[in-house]
Amino acid sequence: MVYCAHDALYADPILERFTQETGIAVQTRHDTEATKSLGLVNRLIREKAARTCDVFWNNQVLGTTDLLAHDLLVPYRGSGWKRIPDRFKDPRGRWCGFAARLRVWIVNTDRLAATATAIEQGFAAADLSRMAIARPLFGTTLTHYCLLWHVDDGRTLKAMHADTRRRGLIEVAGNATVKNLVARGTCDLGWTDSDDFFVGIDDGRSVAMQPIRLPGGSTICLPNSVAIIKGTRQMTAAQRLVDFLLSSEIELALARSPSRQIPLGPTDQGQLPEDVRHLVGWASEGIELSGLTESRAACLAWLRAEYDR
Amino acid sequence: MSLPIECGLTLLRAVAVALVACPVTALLAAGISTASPRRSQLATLALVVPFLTPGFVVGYAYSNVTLSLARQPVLNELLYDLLLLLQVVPVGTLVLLFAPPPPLGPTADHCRRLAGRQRLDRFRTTRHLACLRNGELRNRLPAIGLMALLVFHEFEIASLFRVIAGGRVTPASWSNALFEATALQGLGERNPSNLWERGWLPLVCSPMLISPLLSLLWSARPAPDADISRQRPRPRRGVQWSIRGWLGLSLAAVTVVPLVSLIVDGWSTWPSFWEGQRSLHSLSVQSARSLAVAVVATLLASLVAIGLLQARRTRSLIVLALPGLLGSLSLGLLLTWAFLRFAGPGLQHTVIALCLGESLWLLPRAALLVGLLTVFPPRKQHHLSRLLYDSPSREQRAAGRRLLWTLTGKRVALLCGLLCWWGFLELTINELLAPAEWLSVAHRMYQQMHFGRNGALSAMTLLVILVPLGWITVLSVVGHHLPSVLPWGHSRRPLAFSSGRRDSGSLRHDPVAQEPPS
Repeated sequence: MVYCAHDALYADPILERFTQETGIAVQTRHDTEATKSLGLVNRLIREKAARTCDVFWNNQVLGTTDLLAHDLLVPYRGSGWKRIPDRFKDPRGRWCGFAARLRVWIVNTDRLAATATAIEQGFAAADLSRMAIARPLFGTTLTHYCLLWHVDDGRTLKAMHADTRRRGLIEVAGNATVKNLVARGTCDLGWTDSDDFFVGIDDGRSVAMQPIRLPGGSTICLPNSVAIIKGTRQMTAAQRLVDFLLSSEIELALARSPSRQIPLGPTDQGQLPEDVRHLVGWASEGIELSGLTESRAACLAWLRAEYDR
Repeated sequence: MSLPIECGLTLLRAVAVALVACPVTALLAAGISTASPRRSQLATLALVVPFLTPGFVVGYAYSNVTLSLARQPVLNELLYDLLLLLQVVPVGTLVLLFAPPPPLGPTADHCRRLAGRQRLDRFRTTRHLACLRNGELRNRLPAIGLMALLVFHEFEIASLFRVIAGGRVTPASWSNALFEATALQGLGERNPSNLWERGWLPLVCSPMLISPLLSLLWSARPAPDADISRQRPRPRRGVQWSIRGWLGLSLAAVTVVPLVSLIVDGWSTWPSFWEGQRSLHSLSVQSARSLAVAVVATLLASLVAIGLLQARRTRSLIVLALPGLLGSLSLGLLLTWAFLRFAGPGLQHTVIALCLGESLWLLPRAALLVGLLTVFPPRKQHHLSRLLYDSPSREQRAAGRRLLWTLTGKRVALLCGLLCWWGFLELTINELLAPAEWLSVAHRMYQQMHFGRNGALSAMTLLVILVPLGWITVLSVVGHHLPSVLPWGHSRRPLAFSSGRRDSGSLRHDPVAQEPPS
């Protein structure tokens, strides 16, 4: 049983390929876009006494690292773990990152130039009702918020959040909806993930992107992560799946998939699509994601109070 | 926005939509009950189909429209309200059609007016309020309450439409807010009483809304000789056209547009979809599992409803059906709490918990359907049909079979088919109680709908909807042979929910029912 926070659209073919190659049947539980990854993380914590999940495929790192505190992850340092750079994995092998995405500005090019200056002006406009983000309670927008919180213990973030809401910012269920809003011209710009942006490109929409940069100038590079859940009765199968997901073939497959994920381990650069090679440079400027546990907890507590007022 | 505020706004919407729906239901009920048998059947079908169209399919179909309205929250809210109105009007109309006639009919009302208000005000039982309570309002209040309850619990469309613009949530929905709190904070995990602390308000609102209907059912007495429908004049031509217009609009907006959009969306992906043997196999397995759960829940709910109604233990039935009337989220959370409190987390995500939850959710629907569809024909009619069926003459046997099908088989098939349809497409109890491998296929589709529309998803959704429809077809075929083996129809007394209106409504067009007893 795999709990999978990665989009079913992209994850299912990979898991089906695993079954084809190994003969190991995989059952998957996905989460909705709205409660992305957080619902599954909470479910894993809730099921501590009666576990049904063997492998957790998260679409980001935060959340998976939360499970460490609950002692839910089994160390495994297989062939896949060894090929991933140290900054994207747990040294004890309890989780490992792979195939990353970027947080990006998505811009409707019919309405706004996709330049850093134009975006900055758009974001500073008095009326922000033509900008959309996913609700920051969940998913990669939550990670984005946590990184902003980490800068100065939330002072700037709180002010920005109140200010953008006052100016009419649109908040929707998920990043895919942000992409839809911008691609359809209802909004001019928004925050989304690079995989959602490429869906807009593939649909022939007039959209362009720029990486979102944090105050220090770093980009936000968000790897998928995979972990084996403690108490699994399918340890061998779980290890095979983890190695499979962390292999260069799968990173390459995800890079070539419509989601254009960025490989983290050594991969034949010549085989990467042009779109992804373009992203690799930005990904290398990505901020360090470790050490965010406290900021995440504080940010989440504030957000819960904010959205429950 | 806090949960109590969202709850208040949802309640406000529920009451407003139900009040707007009320005159429409009265108009439709009058039109249908006075139409010719053939037209009445067609109108009832056109009326019911929008209500049976799954909310998530409707929400999915209009998700792009609502995206365009993201910056106009008022229009977004109005679109949502309109869809809700179109979906709940059938329910209110059915309540008016099938409820026992009120003690004060049109004749009494006319006499009251002739007598004059001042003269009647001297008597407590003929004062204005008492007359209202015993007149049309007696049936309209339960209809309004039930419609408001359905609007209050709606979450599928709300979830797909939900946008926050400048800090303002549209459409407000307590069930979405509570569901998010459960997902976000793991509500009730460590302390089950947290569920009560957060969810008590909707739990209080639900019984309030359903209480007029419960009161009506509680106090209803069979009135076999009443047949009010024939005393009503046919509506004027303009009114008839309005009724046709409404039925056409609701059918088009709630059923035809969503289904056509699924077909159009998925058209280009059908060939590749059929070639993808693995995904098709996976979808088939998931569908079979979902159907199995729905069938088990249907059988449990039907048997309990039938057993209690035959034993005339209406009040026990109402008490047992109350959790299901509170809505799937409230019921799911109640069961979650009960499992955590009394059985530990081990039982929470099991097939047993899922079947139990679905059965309880289906029970009130099963009870209403058993009563409304007259699943048990009077003993005499069934006996005469059986005699005809056992005749040595081939023609008479065929006629007997047709009669038995009309009297019993068709109704059993309809009962089981409708319950399976609802059970198969249920989402919330699945989310809260299903073990991962038994998660319903409809729930999987619904999850993916939050990512936006695409051809493959539309094609799969269409296929998923066809599964219970296929099952209903099988039931219909089986139902043709069922009457000969079923021991039903030997009920010596009418069912607990029997009413004069029911006899003059659903059985009005049955050949045997209209024959005088010999």
